[in-house]
Amino acid sequence: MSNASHALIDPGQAFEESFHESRVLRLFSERLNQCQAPLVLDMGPTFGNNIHFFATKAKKLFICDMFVHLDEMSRSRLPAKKAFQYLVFPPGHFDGILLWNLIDYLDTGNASELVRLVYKITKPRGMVVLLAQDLHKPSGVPIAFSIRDECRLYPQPLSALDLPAKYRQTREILDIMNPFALVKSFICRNGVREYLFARP
Amino acid sequence: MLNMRKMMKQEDSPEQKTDPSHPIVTPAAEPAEGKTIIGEKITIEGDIRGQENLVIEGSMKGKIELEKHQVKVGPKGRVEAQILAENVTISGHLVGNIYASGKVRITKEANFSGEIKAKSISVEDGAYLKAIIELERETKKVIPTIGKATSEPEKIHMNQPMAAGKKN
Repeated sequence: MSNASHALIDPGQAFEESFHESRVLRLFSERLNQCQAPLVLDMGPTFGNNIHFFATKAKKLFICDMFVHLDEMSRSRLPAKKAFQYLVFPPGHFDGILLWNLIDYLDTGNASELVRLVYKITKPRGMVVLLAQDLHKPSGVPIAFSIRDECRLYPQPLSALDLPAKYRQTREILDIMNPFALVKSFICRNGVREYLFARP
Repeated sequence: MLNMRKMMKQEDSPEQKTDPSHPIVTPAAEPAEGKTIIGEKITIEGDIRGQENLVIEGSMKGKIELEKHQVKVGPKGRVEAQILAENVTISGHLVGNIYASGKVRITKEANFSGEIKAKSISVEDGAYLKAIIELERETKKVIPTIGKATSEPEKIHMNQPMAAGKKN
């Protein structure tokens, strides 16, 4: 693994005004509280707040920054799905997986393949958090979400990442997430769509 | 066990530097609280045990046991080891597991792969982690589900208009 991730996050450039209160994160946390020793996988970029948030709620928090791995593949002109090699976990392992808005940066074929993989490593009744950006307000740079003030999500530009975005209609997202059952979904004022899925 | 004193730079406590003609004798049972630095050009393979803080700026492979002390892997440090310490700071490259009775701090320059068990953790944005983190947590009771099973997915169709209360 290279050190390429180090310059990827611009903490000073947070889109301060466009945060939203995440209802899905709140639901996800509540459900983790109902588990005896929850295992959680965070596939987002390394944000200290996010790690602290989930590490204090999970028995074990697994960190695997798929944004960085996708960027590596893109820069090396390798297929995006090669990044999935980093997701080697036993079947039915996780009570919760944070997919964030990762599928915004995958074509439909790869997104579906990722979701199949995520399905495999999620426990029955395990949950998946998915976010999708506003179709009508393309950000221009890759975006990730940092948690602050309990369940508030702040978009963070990852300007150094080479990840073209693919904005999708909700119907397409539900198709991609097909093996999962939709538990709740919200559209936030800033246009971000939030989904909580569960493995049946 | 390696003879650390011969191999490493030693930072003395301030008192020892004041007057060489009147050296302060420290009882053997309570050694002066200094720190040992493994310099950039030093490579060590083996186990390290001791009773003072350790800073690694060079390369180290093996096991570090400084239960009541602090270990820091500096920005140029390259370590492949299991670390047992009170507090651990990672700014360099570390592959291995950390068991800390206190806090683990990971700075943005860090590149860490392994497992962390600690009382608390702080991570700077932008660090690279491929990690499993387990913090000390209070034993809690499982909250029983009342009424509708939470495992039962509650389907909401996105095509339907959202209730006003659901918008943030």
